Formats: sequence, C-alpha cells, structure tokens
Amino acid sequence: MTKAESLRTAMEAVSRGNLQTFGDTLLSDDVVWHWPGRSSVSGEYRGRDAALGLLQRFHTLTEGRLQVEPLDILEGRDHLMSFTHITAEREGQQLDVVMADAMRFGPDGRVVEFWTLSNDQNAVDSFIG
Amino acid sequence: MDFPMAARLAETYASGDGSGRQEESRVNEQVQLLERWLAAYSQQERGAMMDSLAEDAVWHVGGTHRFSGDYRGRDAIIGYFDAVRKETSDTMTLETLEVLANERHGAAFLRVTAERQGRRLDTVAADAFRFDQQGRIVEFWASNADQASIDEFWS
Repeated sequence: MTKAESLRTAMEAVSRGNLQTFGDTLLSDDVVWHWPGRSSVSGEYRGRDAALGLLQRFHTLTEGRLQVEPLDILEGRDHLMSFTHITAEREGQQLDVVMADAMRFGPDGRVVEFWTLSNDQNAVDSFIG
Repeated sequence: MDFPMAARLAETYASGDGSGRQEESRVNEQVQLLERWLAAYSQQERGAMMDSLAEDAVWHVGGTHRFSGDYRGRDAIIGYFDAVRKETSDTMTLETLEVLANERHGAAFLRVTAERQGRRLDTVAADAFRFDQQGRIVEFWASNADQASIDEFWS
C-alpha cells in the first residue's frame, strides 16, 4: 500500500466515525503529533491513543463547521504532505487558511511523526479557541 | 459521529489527484528549485535566494518567539534569514531529509541544528511551499518537531 493509499483508507475509516481503524491503519504505536499555536488543542501528542484523543477533540470543537477543499498530495520515499484549503464562518468570524499536513513514515509503513501546519496559525487558534 | 470532511479527503486521495505524476518535467523543475533555495541559504548566496522567491513572497514563522510573524517581500524574507544567521553566529545548518514538489506545491523535510548563547537546537522541521505561475516560491511556512523548544531557544 502506498502512503497515499494508507491515508485514504484511514480517512475513509474516520468518515465512518471509526477512529480506531484510522489509528491502526495510519499511526505507529509511538507516533508523535505536533499541533502548533496557542489554542486549546496545541501541543505535542505522544503515542497512538494520545493522537486519537487529539483528533477526537478537534472534530468535536469544529464539527460540521469546516469546509475542506483538498488541493494536493505530495508523496515521497519517507514523507508525505497533504495540502487542503479550509474555510469556515462562525459568528461573523471568517477562517480561510491553507493547511499542510506533514507526515514522516516509519519502516512499517505507518506514520511516526505528524505535523499540522497552517499558513495562518493565529486564525486557526482563534477559530478553535 | 459524522465526519464529512474526512470522506471528502478520502475521495480525493482515491482519485490520485495531485500525485504530481502528470507534468513530470515541471515536477522535477520544482524539486530542483527547492534544492537550489536550500543550497542558496546554506551557502549564503543572496542572489540565488532572491531568484527563488516571487517579488511578493510571504514567509510565515510560527511560534511565540522574537522572530514569529509574517515576512512580506523578498527583502523582508532575506532580512529574516540574515537576522537568524546573526543571532546564531552562523551555526544554523539544514540537512535535507527529503524534498517533494509538484507544479503547485512543495515540501521540504529538514534536520535543523543551531547554537545560541550556550543553547543547542536539534530538531526536524517540515516546510510547506506554494509556487506562483512562474514556478517561484510565493508563500511558505514551517513547523518544527518541538515548538516549545524553538520558542525557548529564541527566548
């Protein structure tokens, strides 16, 4: 399975609400997930359970409010970067950013390090709260 | 729970959109451009750095430290790198782990080391790039393996 295929399988699982399959398919046991900025979810999450907890909280905080336009996937030997255009509106507040999800894959084909990068971190922080 | 966003992403990944296999020559050109940019930084070749950037390029620096913020235009961006070089007494080195690109976007995974006032930084950074029509860097941003230690390093 290519890295993009693992990501696709994992995303399909998430779309059915199956976070556990997302974790088992995509994330290494000792994955580290970096979420930058100063919002309530910012920080470093170590281990698959912690990473899934982050994902759960992010979805709960933003549920149904984000419009996502996939832009590009770049896949290499050890890494993958996925670009998405994210827009949202809440109480007159606009969010319009490009997110780059960066992943480093380990020898077993699962992600060992994950970075969620935004071109406007302050806007993302304000939106998440 | 319902995750329509994930479903949309999964569809795109299934279609193979953005894999960059179409337009192979442009892909290679963009990988080379990023490699030239990184080499120009390491060798302090200001002219080559300028050539890699669009006139109105924007460089977003995350975190909460003295250099955090947006740098707009070539002069401001080069000025940022000059300031970093000065603050770290020329000790900052970038080791390229992998560079990826298609005609629209690029990625660079780098091991970054530097020293400043007895503190040592050793981290993996992921840089994201967007290119303009002419294939130059028009927007880029980065995150580091450990934002807290970066902030501490620059404090």
